[in-house]
Amino acid sequence: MSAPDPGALPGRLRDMVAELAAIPDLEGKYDALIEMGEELPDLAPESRTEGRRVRGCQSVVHAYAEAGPGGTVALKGHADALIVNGLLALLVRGLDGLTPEGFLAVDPRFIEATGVLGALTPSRVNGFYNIHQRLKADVQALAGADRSAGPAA
Amino acid sequence: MPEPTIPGGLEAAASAKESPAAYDVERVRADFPILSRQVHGRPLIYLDNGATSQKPRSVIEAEASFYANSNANIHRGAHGLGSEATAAFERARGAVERFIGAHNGNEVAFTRNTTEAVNLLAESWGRAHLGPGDEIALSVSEHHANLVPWFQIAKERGARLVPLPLDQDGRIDLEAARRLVGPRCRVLAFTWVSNVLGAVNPVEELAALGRSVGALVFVDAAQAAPHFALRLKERGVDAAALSAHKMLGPTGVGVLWGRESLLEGLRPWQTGGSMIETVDFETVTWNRLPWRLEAGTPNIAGAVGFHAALDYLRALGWPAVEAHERALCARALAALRGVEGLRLRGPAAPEGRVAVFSFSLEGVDPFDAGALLDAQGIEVRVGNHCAQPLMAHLGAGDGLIRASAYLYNTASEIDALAEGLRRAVSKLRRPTPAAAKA
Repeated sequence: MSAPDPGALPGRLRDMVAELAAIPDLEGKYDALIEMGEELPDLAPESRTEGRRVRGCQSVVHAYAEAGPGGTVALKGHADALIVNGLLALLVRGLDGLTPEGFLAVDPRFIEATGVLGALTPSRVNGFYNIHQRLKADVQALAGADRSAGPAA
Repeated sequence: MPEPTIPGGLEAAASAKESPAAYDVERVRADFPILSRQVHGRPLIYLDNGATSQKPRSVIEAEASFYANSNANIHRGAHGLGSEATAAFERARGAVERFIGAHNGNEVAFTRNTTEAVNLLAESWGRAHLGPGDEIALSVSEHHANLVPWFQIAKERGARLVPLPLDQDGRIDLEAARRLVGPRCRVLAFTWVSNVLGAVNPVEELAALGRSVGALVFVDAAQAAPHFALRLKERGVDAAALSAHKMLGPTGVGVLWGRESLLEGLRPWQTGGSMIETVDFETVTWNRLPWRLEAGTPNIAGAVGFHAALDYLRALGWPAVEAHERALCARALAALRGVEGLRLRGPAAPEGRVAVFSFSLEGVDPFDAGALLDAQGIEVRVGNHCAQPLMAHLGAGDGLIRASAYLYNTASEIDALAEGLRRAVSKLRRPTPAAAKA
């Protein structure tokens, strides 16, 4: 299996990935990632629960999904480390507001198209996928709840 | 057969040997092909030498030349090529003996690395000599390689580990060690140079302490051997270990040195080919030292490459290398002091240390800093440096940034590190809670 076609990603994520991909140098990519993270709304201390902690990250990372308006998913998160926070922002901002099906249709290997993957330490690459897994678990639970609440076939 | 010549790469070394003042770092650098490459579009500034050193052309060519011209298995085979390969391997052993100041041909066993050497010693000596209530004294600053093998054998034999604390500069606290190393101490195992702090421990005083209670004295020389002459037989230690790859040699080659009387008493740890004399289904007799400690086919080409590395270091000469590294230390300590929020761990003065610098940056995630340095072509290590007890002792649970220099690094690279850190801090610093409230 190959990485997904960046052009087929949902709109906001596609723009974020394209922005990173267009930056020629690694330091510039990191600068952009840090800015993307800074644009995330901060996560209130009471939202940083143990249950929302992303395991397998070197820094402290929280991420979760909850039901948004009109059957969409609302994604939230925060990482203490700024570059990780930028990676988290790709997921949280890039995939926020999609339907659960829309979220689940996105292959997280889209990160390969940004050009930062090769420079990240293996633990940070894993950290990115762990954040995605953490969000995905919530989204799957929301999708399941949605189905069970729906009319009987 | 004629002695193979070491191909190329020794011109800088030859000039440096004449006088330390003649040390021409640019000529040295020209011997290291990798130093002219770029990473992420920037010139490589390699400051992760504590993890592994780069290799001069002579080492690369010696290893390749062995495969191209002399490759055969050793200590067997009734053919000329085998004899040639065996001679090259044993010449490498002789070069190691001379380089580390060992006694004779029976004291150096080749291993894969320092870790394997410590495992060999801990398993074979420990299993025969340790019992319930015995103590193994180790410093708080041990690399896991000189901790976990002792932990394992202590657990198995009912012995216990006694941690030796550090003084303010990060060296083993001799006064405390004198209180803690008592009559139940059977092993005193310590690192000569901390892989995190760069602090050089007082090896002779510690060896005397260990001997005074009849303990086996083992020194982990992995971070010492690249930087100064070991002169092992003068130090009063019983055994030592080192890795070729940290001192210009190939990966996959390490050394366990031990006094012959000690090695003679070691029960072989790994068994199989090469290490036996006779085998039938009733009895097995062991080969003589040091081969009985080298089961299976070793890294022959690696040993030949290591020989070339030792020749390179010997030709440069320790006075020249030490003078150059001392100058780098002084430069780095001054330059790092100029980085706002940088907190250095380990000795603050250039004496009694090697050019290994570990530090945190206030309000900055160390992995973020490592990534931004990497983007500038500056390669450092970030993390716990295989020394988790030390990290806990230092209160550095998030990890430290470590820059470790070697004989080919330059003053301008040290300056670039400091500038790179300032740049990283300016981009990465989060306000501390106190500053945010203000």
